[in-house]
Amino acid sequence: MPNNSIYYQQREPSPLRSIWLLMSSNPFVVVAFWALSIIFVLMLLSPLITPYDANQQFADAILQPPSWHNEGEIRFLFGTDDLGRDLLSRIIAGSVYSLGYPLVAVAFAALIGIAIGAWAGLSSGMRSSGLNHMLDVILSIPSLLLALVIIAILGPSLFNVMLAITLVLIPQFIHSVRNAIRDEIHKDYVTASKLNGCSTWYLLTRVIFPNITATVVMQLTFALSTAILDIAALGFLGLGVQAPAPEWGTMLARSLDQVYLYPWTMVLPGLALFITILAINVLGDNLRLSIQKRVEQ
Amino acid sequence: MRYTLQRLLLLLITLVLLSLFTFSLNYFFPGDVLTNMTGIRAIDANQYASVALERDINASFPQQYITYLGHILSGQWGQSLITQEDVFQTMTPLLGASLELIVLTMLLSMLLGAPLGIYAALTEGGSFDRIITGLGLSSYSIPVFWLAQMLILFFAVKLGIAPISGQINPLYDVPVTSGAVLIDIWLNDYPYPYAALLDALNHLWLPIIVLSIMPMTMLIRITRGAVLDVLRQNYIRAARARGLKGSTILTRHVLPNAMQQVVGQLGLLFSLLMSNIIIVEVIFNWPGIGSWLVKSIYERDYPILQAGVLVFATLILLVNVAVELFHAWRYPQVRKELYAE
Amino acid sequence: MMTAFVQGCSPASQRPEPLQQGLIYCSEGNPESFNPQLVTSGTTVDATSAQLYDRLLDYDPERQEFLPGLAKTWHALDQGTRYRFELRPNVGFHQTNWFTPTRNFNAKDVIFSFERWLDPTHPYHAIGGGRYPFFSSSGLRSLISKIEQVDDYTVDIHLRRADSSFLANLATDFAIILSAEYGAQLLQQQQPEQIDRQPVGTGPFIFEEFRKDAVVRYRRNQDYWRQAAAIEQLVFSITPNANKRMLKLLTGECDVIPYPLVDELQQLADTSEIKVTSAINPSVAFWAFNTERPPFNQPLVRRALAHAINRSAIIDAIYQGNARTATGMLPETSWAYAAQESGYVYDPELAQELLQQAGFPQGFSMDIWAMPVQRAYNPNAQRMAELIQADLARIGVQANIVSYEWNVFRQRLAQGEHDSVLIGWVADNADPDNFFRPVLSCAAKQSGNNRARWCDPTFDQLLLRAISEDKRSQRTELYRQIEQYVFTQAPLIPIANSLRFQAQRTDVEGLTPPSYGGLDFRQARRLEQEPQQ
Repeated sequence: MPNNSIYYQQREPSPLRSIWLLMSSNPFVVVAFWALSIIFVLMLLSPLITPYDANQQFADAILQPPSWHNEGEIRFLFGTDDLGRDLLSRIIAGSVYSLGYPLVAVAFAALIGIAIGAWAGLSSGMRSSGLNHMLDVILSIPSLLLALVIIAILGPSLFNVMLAITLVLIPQFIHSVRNAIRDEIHKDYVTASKLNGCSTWYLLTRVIFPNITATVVMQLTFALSTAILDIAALGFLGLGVQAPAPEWGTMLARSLDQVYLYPWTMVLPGLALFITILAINVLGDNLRLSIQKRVEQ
Repeated sequence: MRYTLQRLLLLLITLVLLSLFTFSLNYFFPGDVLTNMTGIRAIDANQYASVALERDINASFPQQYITYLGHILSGQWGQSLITQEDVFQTMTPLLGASLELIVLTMLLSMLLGAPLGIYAALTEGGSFDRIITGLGLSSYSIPVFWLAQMLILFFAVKLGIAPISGQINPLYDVPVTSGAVLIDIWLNDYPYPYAALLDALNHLWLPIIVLSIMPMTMLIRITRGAVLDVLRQNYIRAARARGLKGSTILTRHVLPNAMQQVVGQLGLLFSLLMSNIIIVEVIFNWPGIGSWLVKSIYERDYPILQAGVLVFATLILLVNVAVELFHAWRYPQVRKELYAE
Repeated sequence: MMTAFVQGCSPASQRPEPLQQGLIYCSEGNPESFNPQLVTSGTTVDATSAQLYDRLLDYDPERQEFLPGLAKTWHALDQGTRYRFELRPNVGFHQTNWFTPTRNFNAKDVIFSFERWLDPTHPYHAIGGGRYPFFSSSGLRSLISKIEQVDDYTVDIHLRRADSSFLANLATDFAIILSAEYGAQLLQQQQPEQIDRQPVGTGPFIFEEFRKDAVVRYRRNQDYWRQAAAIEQLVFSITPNANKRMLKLLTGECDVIPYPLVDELQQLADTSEIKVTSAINPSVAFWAFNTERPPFNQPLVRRALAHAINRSAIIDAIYQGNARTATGMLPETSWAYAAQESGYVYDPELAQELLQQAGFPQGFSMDIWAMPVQRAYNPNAQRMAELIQADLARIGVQANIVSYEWNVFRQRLAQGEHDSVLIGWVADNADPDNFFRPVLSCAAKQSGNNRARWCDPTFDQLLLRAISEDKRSQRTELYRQIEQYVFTQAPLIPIANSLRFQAQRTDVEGLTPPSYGGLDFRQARRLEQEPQQ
């Protein structure tokens, strides 16, 4: 492909892009990225592609084994559960609850958390430092415990679970964004912009933010895996999304009634949960390593 | 000294905030505030009137809170809405049972995790190292309730080498004093100590393995990272150049410095463990604080719920501060961080 | 026998003493109280009645006759309006850490135990809630006018009218005898509520400890007036999850479990180790509507919902063939059972039509309360609720499934906080009246036991006529009419009649699931060696 530009250009890739270049050299990251993308697309298309309705009960096919099993049937690829509902359809439809809703919760938490974090990062002195120490302490309390308390107050339902998860994620964002900004704010390039007379808003959005995007993305992946695990754990304890919603943790919990004879009802939703979280964690972890490497370079 | 004081002050403030939080829970929970606080229902008119007086329920909020704090500190935590038993007395053996799990899990994770992490670092790029780094993220991503169920199915049901749930075979009527069954057998001079001890250990090992998988693999990763970090430092190169023996470098220079980073992360590990213990106790029917807390949510037993939250959070905060203080005492250089701003 | 002994390595012969002489029963829930007078739940009755206490008389379901209990003999006097009981001498109460009896059982204890629930001014009447559901809903409270002590070992009970079900009601698990002396001691110590928490009785087992969600522990009463129990220690290990109970039976952590998942157990179990027994335990599972709440106050709506659910699919999925579709309240085993038409036909279109007539063409949203535990009549209410939820969705009714911990669940039910509930009834005695009066009468509504909160004078009138009738054929006809009335009014929808199952390890014997009432562990014992094949 001919290069249109006749001048030699040294193009410095954006921070996020340079990190991706670093990361994509790791095959695991590529696999994880694709796995997550596929799950995400499946989730978006779930109303269209599930073979059956997730709540449709086939009275003639209760606890049908998966199709690769001797007694399995091809019409139920992953078999059926104790009410004769198609597991494949339920797992695909369940991705909305187990991936989609956590994504929404994380998005809200990020919006609020980043806003507060940015404010705290820019304002200096005791106020900010006190907030920081407080956050340190709050963050040491597991998010699941806080979510449990909120559910105890509000009662279990999809909306309350979302509210609880969003609330418990906010402090993490405040903390990481604030720290990231404080790390950047004393660097020369920020001081230079300041001396140029940039407004605070410009400073924040145009100068500092591009340089902390990677940290924020890392925090996003971390929050997402926390949100998925917590929603599933609440579902498992029967305090989360309520029946008949095919949330993966809830499916796991009810599979316990027949797990010994029909292990696939437990293995499959668990596997879906595991793969999703693993993919997110692999991405997040490598993001962290790459940020470190980039800083060291 | 100043550092210690500062940390303790921060701990105190946080604990006050925590108690404020549990105090306000009484108002957030559905139902009558005083009933949520004491477990005494309004039907029980006489007692209700007397606790209303005792708790200053008609006074201003600050006054109410101070009275509440006084009750918390003196162990008057009210009674359960379901069983009418004293919450504080019910709590103590449950705390013992939870601590038994926690301490043994932490011990196992540290005793295995740290050496394995060092080994992985020293053989960087080797097959063991690669397996460990691979497993690390996986074990961190496995939902603990899934893992626990699969291990129960495999070890308890399929192989029959572990019981499914409980602390000890209930036919061993070991009196409950501390709640930690290993200690109770020893404390109470139980007539069949060896049989009971064996049975208790048999009940313990599976939950401990489930619980320690995550902290252990994380610890391996942290240790590995820390050791590698130190190995790259100039003073190690210098030591090598001076011709010190490999083992001397490792024990005198690498490990002490690497452990500094590891100790700093122990608080985080502990928080993770506490999150998992809630679920693991429920799955293994372990009579601890975690399963107590979850049951209280099912049963809408608010006096117990706030007690559970209080104990749980306090435990986490205390351990975190203790780790920090130890860290700062052992490695004075980290103290500076607090004043950095 | 000899080889088994010589081999020596079979687990049974190596079991340490406490394990060899004790028995673990994995029960499905916590007992609500240690006094069955206060409750109707089978879980509590199983855990307390026959273990801790004795009754004046017992009932033998096989021979269908009454057996002497704490009363040696009894006679009906004054045309059946007065009963005289001669009491058994030399029966001692339990000696425990919290109570040392100074005298044996006598008439004072009978008076004390009866007056507790009879007399609203009795100092113990209000203790533990002041509700005596069995005695209210069975009509025993309104039947007995007076109880008096003739001498130390003779008691007279005066009735307002002759009633043939009186003795049957006295022989139930609820009419137990407490210690008057213990009651007085607790009053003096100003902690009367302890009487139901640290119980003292005359039964074959002595209460030792109760840890909620963990264990109830009993030890043998060495001085029991009948033959003492065969096991030294009896432990109720509380295991609410049915699957976990089954697995614990397989691993030997439980010796006996109630309400097993029969189908799965039979596929899994090695029959030389595990055996499943069953008893005809007259019971009915039903779906009751809170008839006080709109829209369930309209019979039309209730009938619409009745036609909307596919009961035969429920029987297949939930009971796996171990039950039959209920045609009415009475199970087939009852003598008053009359073959009915099959009850409500599954017909979603008819259901929709009925809803339209009732003014709900768009459907509505409702709660289904599903029990968190297995009962003899319903092995999995949650799953049943989900099946019903899907059926209802088809006629545009959106159902939410609600559940609480079992005791909380029952408390809230009694307060009428539900829209509808999946629950059931197990007969306390063989009289058909027991399937109607404690479940659907106005008296049952007052005692909180009427899950439909249905109070219909026509129905109560019919019941009264049926109970005062003597001839079986006429009573049968009246019960047929009653069934028909319940069918048209549909305060509840009967779903299934099933057997009561129990699974146990084969080295335990002497414990069969009871036909009526609760379990009795007195005869239970562990065989010396695991039987060799």
